[in-house]
Amino acid sequence: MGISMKRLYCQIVTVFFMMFSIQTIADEQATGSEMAVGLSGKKPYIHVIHEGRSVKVQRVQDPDYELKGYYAKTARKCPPFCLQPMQVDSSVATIGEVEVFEFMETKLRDNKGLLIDARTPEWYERGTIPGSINIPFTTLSKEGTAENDAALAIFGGKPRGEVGTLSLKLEEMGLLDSDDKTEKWDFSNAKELVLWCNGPECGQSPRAIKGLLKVGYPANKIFYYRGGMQLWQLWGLTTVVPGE
Amino acid sequence: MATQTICFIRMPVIRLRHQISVLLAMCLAAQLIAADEDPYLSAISSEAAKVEATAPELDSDEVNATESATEGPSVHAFEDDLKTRYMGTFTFYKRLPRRAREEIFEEYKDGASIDEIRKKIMDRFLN
Repeated sequence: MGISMKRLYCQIVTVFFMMFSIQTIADEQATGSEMAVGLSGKKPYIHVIHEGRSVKVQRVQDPDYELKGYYAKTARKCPPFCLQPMQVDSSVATIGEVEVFEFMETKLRDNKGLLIDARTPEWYERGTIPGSINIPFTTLSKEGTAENDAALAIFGGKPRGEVGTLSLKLEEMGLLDSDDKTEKWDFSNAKELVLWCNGPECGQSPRAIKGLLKVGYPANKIFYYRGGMQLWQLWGLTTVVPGE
Repeated sequence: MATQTICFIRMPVIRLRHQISVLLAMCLAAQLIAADEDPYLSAISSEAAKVEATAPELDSDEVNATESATEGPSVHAFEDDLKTRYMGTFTFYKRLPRRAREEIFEEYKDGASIDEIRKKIMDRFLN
């Protein structure tokens, strides 16, 4: 009698769980069906905070839409606008659009990450990816300048001040925690960064990444979105003009 | 004695020569860096002038959609997101009174992090 009661209880729980799963899938499909062109398999759109306001990031819904304007160009003079390798550095991960969406929804929203438009301000002013802040590569590639120090502080780096020789020695020997620390900076609580520029032909974010690695910013906290503005626009994704 | 004097004079001269050569090397390196970066910067700058400050062209329906999109996320989108990512928190959220749910949604719209939102939901639920 006890066993059959247990079995019945188990069956009820299973049925309840199945119904719940079906309902969840149905909910997701209902949301997705409102839009013909979703962001990814799971998301029709996402919201990102840009300059204090919420911006809906979605794709252009017209299946016949074709990219026009500057980012539709297939070639620029090379050098200097040459195709970039897939990886800036073997220690830095290269990511695509879906990973950027994921980053926007998690690290960026939770203030644990920053989306960096590493282009010069004149590019940024003409349009950017929602949620991005403009820290030009010229700032990130000049180690030791006040601008560079300020940027690293924004990223969550802490200047270490005077570090004693003994402490440095103990860190070198592994007796003191030296993870994500350099002689000058403590990057233990530094944010994750996604850096991007104009796309595969752009060398601005690769230069910025190289600058960050040079000052000892942890490579596992740096991500390179190689597609940049060109691929972002190719997929008809929302862009914003700063200040508008 | 004469040899010693010559040595004393030579030492600072050698040191000075060394310092100058280091300085020259630094200047040369700085010049090389500047020469490398300046043409690149000017090329970037002239290329930027070709970019029109517009988002991709949208038809009128899409423009309307984009305009309304800037008003912020809908409650539906917020709840969907919460349900997908934090089912447990969503269960507690659904049990909150309407006013508390509205308050939490307003904070989400203003850019509160999901950690803060989750904490707030639990605070409201427990108190």
